This record gives sequence, C-alpha cells and structure tokens, in this order.
Amino acid sequence: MTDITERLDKAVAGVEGVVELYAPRPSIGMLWRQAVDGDSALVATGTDADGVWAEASVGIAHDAGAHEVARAVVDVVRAALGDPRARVTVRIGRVIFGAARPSTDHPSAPPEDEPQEIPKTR
Amino acid sequence: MTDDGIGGTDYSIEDLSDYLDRGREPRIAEIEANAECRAVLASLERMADLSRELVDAESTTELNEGWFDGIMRHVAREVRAGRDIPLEPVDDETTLVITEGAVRSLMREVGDAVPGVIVERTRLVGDVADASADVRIEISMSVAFGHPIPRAVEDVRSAIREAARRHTGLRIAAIDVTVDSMHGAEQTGGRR
Repeated sequence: MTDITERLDKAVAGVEGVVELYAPRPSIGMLWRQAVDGDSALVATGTDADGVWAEASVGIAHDAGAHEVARAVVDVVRAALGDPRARVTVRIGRVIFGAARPSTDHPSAPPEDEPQEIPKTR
Repeated sequence: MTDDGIGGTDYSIEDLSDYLDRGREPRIAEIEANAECRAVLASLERMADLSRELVDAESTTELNEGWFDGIMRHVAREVRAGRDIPLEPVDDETTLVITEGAVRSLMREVGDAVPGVIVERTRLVGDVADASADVRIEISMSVAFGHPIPRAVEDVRSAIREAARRHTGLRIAAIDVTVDSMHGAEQTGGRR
C-alpha cells in the first residue's frame, strides 16, 4: 500500500456515516497491482489522460443519509489527493441497518498542501 | 443449498455460514472487504437470531429448513451489486451511486426489523438507473402468528418508504407487500 492509498483509506474510513470500506470492482490494473505489489488498498486511485481519478466503495450507517455521506467522501478524497477537480466515483455497496454511527475520532483528511504521487494504473 | 460464489469470490453461502460459525476467525480479508459477502453474513446472523428467538419463545418448532434455505437463496441473488442507482452528483467530475444490491438488502433489513416480520424476497421493478423513471418495490414476507397482518404490512411499507427516501433518489410509485406465509408457534415457517 502506498502512502497516498493508505491516506485515502484512512480519510474515507474517517467520514461520519462510513461504517465499512470495500475493495472496488476489480480491474486488470488493480489485480496486477495486488499480485505484483501485494497492494491491499481499498480506495483505488490513479491517473490517465484526463487526470487524477479515485474510486471508493463504502458501506454506510442507515441513520446517515447516502447523499450526504457520498458527498463527504468526495470532499475528503479530493483533499487527500490535493486535487479539487479529481474525478471521484463513490459507490455505496451496503447500508447497514442498526449500525452504530461511528464518532469522528478517525484521522481527518490530510492537508491539501501535501501533494502525493499518484500511481498510474489505467 | 448450493449457489455460485458470492460477490465474485469463490465463497458460497455454506462457506460464509461456516466462517460465521467459526466466529469469523481466522479473518479472511477477501470476505471482509466484499460488500456482498458482508450482506450475506448479516442476513445469516439475523436468521440465526430469529431462530434462537423462536426457540426461546418456546415455539413448537424451529424454522422450516427448506424455507430458510429458500430465503437464503433469495438473499444471495439480492445482494449482487446489480444496477447502479444514481445519486445526485456534486459536479461533472463525480459519479455517486448506490448499488441495487445495497438497496434490496436495505429493504430486507428494514422489513426484518419490523416485529414479527421476516422478509422472503425483495424486488425493484423499473429502470432504476433513470432518475426520472417510476419504480415499484415488491416485498414478499412472512408474518409471525399473533401479529396483526394489516399492521405489519403498513409498518413495513412505511419503513421502506422512509429508507428509500433517505438513501436513494428513486421515484417510488408503489410498494407492493405480499404476505405469503406465516411462521411461529403454530406452524413451521413457510407453510401457507
């Protein structure tokens, strides 16, 4: 796991209402990275001809709102990437009924003035 | 009870049931990081809790095994991610979605939380990928003996409508609830 993917995982896990974090739908690049590097990051990111992209798949607490949580995930991902125009996909894979809404004592998103190297995967 | 691997993994419902019985130890990362496997584990836990409740309530019989297996087959189909249901994006560079599997699992969990109700099957009918299309939700469920059916139906319908409002942008045209079995003290689950 690279610094940036670790920071992304932590940032997304720290969003209020996010209860679980899942591996995104596998792509060839992702499977290759996992096989070669043993990369176990859950939030995927990379660059392509259109710029920086990221994809997060999350489970949220039922008492949170899907729209609000998804938007908050976008905000922390962009902050962690230091790119306010990064293309971000958030997929809510589960809504967990009865899950305790976690308190926000997770590490917050890293400051925007620390640009990170984004692995090229697409 | 046989089924294909859940969520693109090689793990069947039986494998997940065994994993749950082992207290999810040793931890299998592929399962824990898979939304569909997690949803199946949650359903298995709920069904186990229900079975224990019936025994504690001195129900004459436990849940009918064939009926239980039938429900778990529905669960395995429902948790598949399926279609992406769009949420309102932040801007042109974002794609925010909730999966059809997440919504169907939520409908099931919300219904199961209503006293005396066990959801058997959920279905979303309509073009859920089109935010402007009308969608119908279909629920089949069992009600425990002694619970008034009209009240159970209305409680399920109300809870599902609220959950859909909170977590999706779906235009819900109708929520059709069918009670097609009863369970509990007098009979085994699933008998009509």
